[in-house]
Amino acid sequence: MTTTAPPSGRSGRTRRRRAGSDRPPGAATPANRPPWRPPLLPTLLVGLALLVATVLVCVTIGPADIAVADVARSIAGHLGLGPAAGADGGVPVLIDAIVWELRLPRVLTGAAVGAGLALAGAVMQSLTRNPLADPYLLGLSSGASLGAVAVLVVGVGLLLPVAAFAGALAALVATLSLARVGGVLTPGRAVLAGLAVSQLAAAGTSFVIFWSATGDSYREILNWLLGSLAGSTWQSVAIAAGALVVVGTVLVASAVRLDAFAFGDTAAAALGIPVDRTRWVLMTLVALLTGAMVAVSGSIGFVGLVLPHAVSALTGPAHRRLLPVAAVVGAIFLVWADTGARTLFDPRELPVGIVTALIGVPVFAVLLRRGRGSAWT
Amino acid sequence: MDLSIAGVGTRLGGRWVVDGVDATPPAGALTGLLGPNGAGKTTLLRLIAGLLDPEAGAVLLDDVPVHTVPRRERARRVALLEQESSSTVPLTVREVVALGRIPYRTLWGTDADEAAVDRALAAADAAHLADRAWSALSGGERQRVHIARALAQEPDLLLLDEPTNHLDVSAQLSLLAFVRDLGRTTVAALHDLNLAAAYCAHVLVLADGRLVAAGDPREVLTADLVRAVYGVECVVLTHPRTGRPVIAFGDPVPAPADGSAADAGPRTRPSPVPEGAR
Repeated sequence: MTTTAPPSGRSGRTRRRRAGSDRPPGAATPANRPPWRPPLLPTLLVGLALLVATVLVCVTIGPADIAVADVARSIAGHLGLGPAAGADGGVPVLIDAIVWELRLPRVLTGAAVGAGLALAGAVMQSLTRNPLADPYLLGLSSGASLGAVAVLVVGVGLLLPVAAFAGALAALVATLSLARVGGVLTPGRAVLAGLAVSQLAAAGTSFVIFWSATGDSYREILNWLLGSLAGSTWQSVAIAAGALVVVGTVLVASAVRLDAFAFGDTAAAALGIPVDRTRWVLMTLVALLTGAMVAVSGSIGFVGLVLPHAVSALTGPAHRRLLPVAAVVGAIFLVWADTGARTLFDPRELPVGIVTALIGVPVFAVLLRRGRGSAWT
Repeated sequence: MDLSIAGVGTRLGGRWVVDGVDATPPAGALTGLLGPNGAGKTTLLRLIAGLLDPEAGAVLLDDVPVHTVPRRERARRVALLEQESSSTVPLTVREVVALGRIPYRTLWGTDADEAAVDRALAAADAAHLADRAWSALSGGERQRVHIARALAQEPDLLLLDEPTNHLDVSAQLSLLAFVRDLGRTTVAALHDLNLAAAYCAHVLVLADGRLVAAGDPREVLTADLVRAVYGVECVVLTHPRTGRPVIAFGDPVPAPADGSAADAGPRTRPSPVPEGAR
């Protein structure tokens, strides 16, 4: 508990309000201020508007110069809302191909993956009561990568999301079992177990690729381990967005149940929540979501860990507000991170996980420093 | 609301931690649940709360076995405050209390519960804390907020597991006086026999999972019982102002060789630790 002196202008009022409490005066903390929390609906609408703007702008960024208007016309042409590409009044065919076949699927996949990872992180943190829980740290992402790589080697690409889901689920079970061996499940043990499972799965992924790859195996390994959206197609969009809509809806609908876990399992049970069933159903859904995301992008770190904390500083911890806003912010964040990854060192492309780590770690440090970490020990 | 504990029992790891407990805590009053560490107080509270299915007997709320009541309905009728309830989530006090409204929420909870949260905060004398961060509260304030959360459930039955743990003496006294004056059926597990003697209308004494005594603390809390259940010598005095029992503790009694010191119950070995002497 911090005992920083309050700003001088506030202390008098704070003390008067505290009269009658059983705490001595003068121990006020900066946390005494009633937190301002923006209303949900306007926040979401602003976020969605920013997301649309982000998508339109990021599609224009790249080696070939394309105007936002061209992007809009290309999309309109494909949706039947305007003249088709190459037709009178439509965009040139080449520009249309860059927008519709290359950049738009990639940007949209990035948006869906960012939203999915942020949701998965927020839900894992609440279910495990562990502020460090996220699909990457607990090994789910690496497990999903291993599953995905394994079926790719066998050559059944259609099973890719299924295998990634199976890998994520296996990693989840392995992490939680390992963390429980010889003791109770504490946040620290869960993270350590996740680290072990994650390293094992990453080693497995690298091994499978080395064993089988003929061409640029190093690059491929990096893409799976650090995450990359380079290979995105409309099929990736369908997988990621489909999983996001289906699983995300259920998760957001479970917001109240997630709130109930704030004081632990017994408290949740006393509030009428079926604790075990809720935990396993939601964790399986998180594994499903992670599997879908990893199947299209590899394992991207830090989005699931950092974004929920950053967003809850704005929305507060109530999941009804936190989850939708975190999803939108996650989408915006990953689209920009990926745009950076593919353009900053043009013509080289970075795995997007490097960019998310470069941004995520300083943000994490700021959150820790701001004392939001005081309850994390 | 009538609470009746009818021969309830359950095992953990093969051992009966609660074994055939029969009791009827009085309605609208504070009942103290006493007994040494490991006597089964927490397990009995969980059984009363319906969080644990009994292997024998049942806990009846208005003649209905509590473990058969649907979860949400049960959470509207019974509130349980655990020992050591804490959170890493950066919640405000108001948000903590609002958790108590979860049993009343629909899929997309609205702000219609705000009035109930305000009532609970006021009833627990915690309204002035509403906008504070929960993590910045003192131990006494936290307990008060937890009670407000329980009251937000608008329960007929309030169950408290060692609510005075880690509180200073003034916070202990004001908390129990407050709970007593709520006029709600309350069962509180307590370690401090003097607090129980001062504030409870009724006490239940557990030892090794069995109920060994029940009734008015002025009749139940005798030197013989304390020796048998806690293995501690004591003198029971009468408070000069309230007329309530005051227990002055002596030394722990050595473990009896024949294992039959307990005339008030089946306990075979007195606890070495004088519980109320802290």
